[in-house]
Amino acid sequence: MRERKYEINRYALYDDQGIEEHLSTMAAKGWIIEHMNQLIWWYRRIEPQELEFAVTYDLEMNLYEPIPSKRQIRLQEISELGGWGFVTDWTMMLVFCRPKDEEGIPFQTDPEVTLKLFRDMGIRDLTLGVVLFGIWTLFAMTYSKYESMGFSPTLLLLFWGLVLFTTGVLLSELWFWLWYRRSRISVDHGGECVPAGKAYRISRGMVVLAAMIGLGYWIAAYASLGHLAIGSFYIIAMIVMIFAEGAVRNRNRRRGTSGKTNYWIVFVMGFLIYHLIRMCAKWWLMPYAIEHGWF
Amino acid sequence: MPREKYQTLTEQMFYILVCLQVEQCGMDIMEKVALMTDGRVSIGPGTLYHLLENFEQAGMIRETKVEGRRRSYLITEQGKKALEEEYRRLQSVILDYEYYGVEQIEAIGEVSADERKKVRNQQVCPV
Repeated sequence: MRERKYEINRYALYDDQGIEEHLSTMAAKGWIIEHMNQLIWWYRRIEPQELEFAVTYDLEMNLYEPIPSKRQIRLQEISELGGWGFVTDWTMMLVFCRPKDEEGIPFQTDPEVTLKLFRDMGIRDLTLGVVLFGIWTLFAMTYSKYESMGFSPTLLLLFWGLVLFTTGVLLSELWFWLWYRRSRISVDHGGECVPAGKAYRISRGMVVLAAMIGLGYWIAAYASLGHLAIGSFYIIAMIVMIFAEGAVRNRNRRRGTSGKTNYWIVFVMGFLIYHLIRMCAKWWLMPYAIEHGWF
Repeated sequence: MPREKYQTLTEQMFYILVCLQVEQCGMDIMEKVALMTDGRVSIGPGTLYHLLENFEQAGMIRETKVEGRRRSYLITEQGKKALEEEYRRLQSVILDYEYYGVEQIEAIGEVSADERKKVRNQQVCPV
């Protein structure tokens, strides 16, 4: 019998109600959430039980801050005193649970507070969207200027990656603010935030787009460099780089390294690995490919 | 129209500040608010955490001591001022409700604002 279960995430970060209901359904089926990220959620087998989940957010938490942070410890302390146990976190989102209790006090009791958190989160993401759009515009202008210099898969990857990612972010933003407006009206009339509905389709779409960009890069590398092995090398090397960075970042977080230090360690590491990959391709793989007549 | 920050307090904000006129920890606040309101108002831990953080950042409360997992808080002068303003706003709402019967509503255009205020203050206890 399997002890672990993996699932592709189909919820937007702000879809707290959807996430809470889904985690309760999974617990009733005998799976409790153990770890979450943008792409994949990990579950651990438990005895099927009626659990109630609560999702909350702390905007000062991010992927580089030590875990648990002082703020996280404070939130966990108050929550545990109120009968809610900490389960896991995902960037700025924290998940708590307790045995189902119809009489118990809910985790969030003031929709105004919840809505304010979402608004602050939305403003921060909107800033990211605008910055991305600015980068894309600059890049597009530069790229069109030097297009005559020749075809480069890396440039093409960057160009389409930015186009698609920026579109995805702006679409998510639009969807979010429409949802926020409906929730604002509901809360102003004494109700709760409204369900986020199909918001997950955008995040799922972004995952599909990312996979398509990767595939496009692979094909482009093949077309320009002449052999599948070259393209595959770049793709595999980049995936290894992303996972290595994630592992180092998480180890530093557990060790209590400060957020800024952790960020710079990961940044420098990424820079060095990227250039190592390029050097490997240039000084080892390419001469090997030429020597063996791959082209 | 969005509410200006702390211009009006939600019920939960109001009761937290009322409780913090005496030094309390988070768990005490949750219990006391439920007792004070006979269970009509309850504050969940998530809401309490965010409100305490927001109040502390706004200088309306301050952390007084940490004993193991318990952190205690106390209202500041700024918090007392916000509480007092909310009290006056609520009292004014109640006075309006008590003053405006059918007669007063029908005569509302015929009496100046100053006269209305004067009569109302004579009829009910002034704030």
